[in-house]
Amino acid sequence: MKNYKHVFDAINKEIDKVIVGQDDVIEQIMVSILCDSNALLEGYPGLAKTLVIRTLAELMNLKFSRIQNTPDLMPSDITGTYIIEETSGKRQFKFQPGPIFANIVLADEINRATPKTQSALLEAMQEKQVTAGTNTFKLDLPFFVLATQNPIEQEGTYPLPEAQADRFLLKIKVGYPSIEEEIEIVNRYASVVREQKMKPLLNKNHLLSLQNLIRQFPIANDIKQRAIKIIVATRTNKDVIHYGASPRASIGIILASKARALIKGRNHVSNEDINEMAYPVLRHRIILNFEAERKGMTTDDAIKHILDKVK
Amino acid sequence: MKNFIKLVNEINKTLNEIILFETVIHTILLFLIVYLFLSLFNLFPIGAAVPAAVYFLMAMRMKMKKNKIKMVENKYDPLKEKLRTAADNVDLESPVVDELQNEVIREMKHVGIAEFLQTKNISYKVFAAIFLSFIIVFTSTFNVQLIDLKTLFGTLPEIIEYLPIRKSPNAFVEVNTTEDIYGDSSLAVLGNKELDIKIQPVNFEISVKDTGDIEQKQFDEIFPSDVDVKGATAFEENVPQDQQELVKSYFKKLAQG
Repeated sequence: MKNYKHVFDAINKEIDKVIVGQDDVIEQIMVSILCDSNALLEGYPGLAKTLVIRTLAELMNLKFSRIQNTPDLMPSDITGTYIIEETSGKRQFKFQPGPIFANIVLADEINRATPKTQSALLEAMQEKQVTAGTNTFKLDLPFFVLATQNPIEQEGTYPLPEAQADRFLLKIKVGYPSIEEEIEIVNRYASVVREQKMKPLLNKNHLLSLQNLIRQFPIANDIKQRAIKIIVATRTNKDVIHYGASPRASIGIILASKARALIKGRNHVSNEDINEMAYPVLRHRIILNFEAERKGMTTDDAIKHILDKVK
Repeated sequence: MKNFIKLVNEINKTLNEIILFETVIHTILLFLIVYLFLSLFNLFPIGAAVPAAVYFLMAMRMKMKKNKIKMVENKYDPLKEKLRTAADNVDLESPVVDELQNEVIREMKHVGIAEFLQTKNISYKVFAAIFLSFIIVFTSTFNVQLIDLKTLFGTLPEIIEYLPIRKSPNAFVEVNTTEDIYGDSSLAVLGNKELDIKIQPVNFEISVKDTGDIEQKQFDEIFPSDVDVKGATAFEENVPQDQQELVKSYFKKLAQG
């Protein structure tokens, strides 16, 4: 496992050449990739979300594409469509793959797309396949969607319903950098921009074998039970939570904790992993009740409340 | 994997032995404390075996249930979560588990039995047991009693009378100062006269503390002057002389044959 830790340390070192700070965000995106799942990023514009994804794709030697969601975006704009192609005087339909046919897809401002378009994207996320007309096309593995959401400007948006949001393994919060980090960003990008060359540190096969390895990670029975109790507590803790997490969250928290253990170079899942991954796994899966909202509680506060209760 | 199973078994065996040892010491201490307490109050001191046995059984039951793996983890921080993860997933075939098991086996070499045996603590307990034993010997030898609860509550529960309550060293010369000493008054009759006999109560308490030369005591012969012998009423039969002679001759002839 120490060898894997060196690999992830090297990835972090390479990312540091381009991205300043955002260590937690990078770690959680990597967790999501290792779990063969998708992540929802929430953060204000200009926080290097796209740059992080593009850099990670480069380091992992994966095909990257970006979809800028707008209200007029059609499902076929994402999945692809049939076009008429004329070859040697013969006209025939040919499938023109959309931007979804990549390994890492950045769906920017997913809440701006209509529910119909969102559904097309979510089908691809869940089934790893695309249906166009009567044909179904398998997506190239590994496949990973990173959707972003803007917490402001809610007008004219179609917020993801809870059931749809549940399909994302993690909801990653992208925060503002510290003053020192912002100074470094300015120094780096407000002067002569030198293009940083990234050397790929992983490839598709490595990534697929790592995704397989994650599932073989051992976890102690009491740690597993605690993780499940945390998820169950979101359903029973009615004093702050109106709607709790589904069993999909139980699978998610265990899997995400295993991936975090691998990134940290450990060969077992620790309680620390559970505590750390509880936030991104649960924050989009619970709905606070009126009383909690009236008190100004956030979902992260509610999760902390549960983590403190379930020892 | 076999090595790891062996390791887990060894952990369980060793910690069970340590638990047994500690519990035995605690039981002995408890027995001695209760024994001393009962001795000082002149109660049934062997009864101390009952709380000691109850404690032993309960402590063993509770301690044996404890998770030995967690006990090891608590003593050696680098093994925290690792040991129990490896133990819980001992049947899982995975390169990650194999690596974890090997790591745990390596780490376990740093864990000694001394981590679980608090030698200082145990030494104090052993010394306390020795000290208590001496106190018990001392109190028994010098018959030290704070309160003689047996005498104090002697008349209370009858059940205590049936219990084999420990006799005090001078119990066989116990002095009874009540009138019962004379027994059934109908027996103290000689002929038609009731005897008026008084036995001087004498204190025969023996104490090993009283040492010294043998004291020569003068014994007085007390014999009441008004005692005289009278013929028994059985001989005062009034048989006529001729009938007496007749009976005598009958027996003579009978003897001659």
